[in-house]
Amino acid sequence: MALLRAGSKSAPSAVFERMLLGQPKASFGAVYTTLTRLAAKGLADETSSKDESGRARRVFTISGSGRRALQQSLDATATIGGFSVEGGFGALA
Amino acid sequence: MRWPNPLKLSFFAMLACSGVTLVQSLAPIRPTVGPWLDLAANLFQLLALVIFYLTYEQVVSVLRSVDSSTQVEKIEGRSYIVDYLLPPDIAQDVQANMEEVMPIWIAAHGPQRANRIRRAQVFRIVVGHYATPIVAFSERVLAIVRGA
Repeated sequence: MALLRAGSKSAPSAVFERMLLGQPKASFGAVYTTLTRLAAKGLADETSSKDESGRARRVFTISGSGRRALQQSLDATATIGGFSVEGGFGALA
Repeated sequence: MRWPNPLKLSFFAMLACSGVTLVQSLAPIRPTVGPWLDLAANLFQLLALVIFYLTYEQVVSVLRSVDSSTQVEKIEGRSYIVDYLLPPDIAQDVQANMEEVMPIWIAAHGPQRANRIRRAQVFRIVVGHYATPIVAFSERVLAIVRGA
């Protein structure tokens, strides 16, 4: 979701910054490794671009299958009632 | 105030001692060969010190020029472990990302804790880089086993 929100051709640092908005304890190492795994699985497209200093950077864009997987996950969550619980999660106990 | 180099100070102390010895050897001039030998020895000692000093100056000037030409700008967030343990293209990318993320950690936690976080994340990225193919292989094996 953070990769989708960060936009196309996002560097891992941009995705990490996006994640921090909703998850302050996010780990950069986990984000970097997960992006690499997403690219290996074909859920994200990895390309190379140059930054201002002329360094080669890996940038990631969510792929079509990545969007589909995200949509399926959100649909599955919505089907079982989503994240909102009447009376809060304490009411489930 | 900039203090003089201790090596230079010790050299001048040795030079002074040598001068004193030289004067002492000049004092009891006797018509024998002994004092002249002492004088010659002290002159040689003085000459050796001058040569030592000139050599020292040359070595220091060479070292200073080498030091100024090889000084690398310290960049916040750089890690040599990344350069050593990861392939060059990935290492370059990780370094660039770390430089971008480091200010966020410094602002949130302060420089010392930010450094600790950086080391931990570098470790995690390096381990993750080598573990990813193993995990992918395990997933493929599991998929085959489950499919069968």
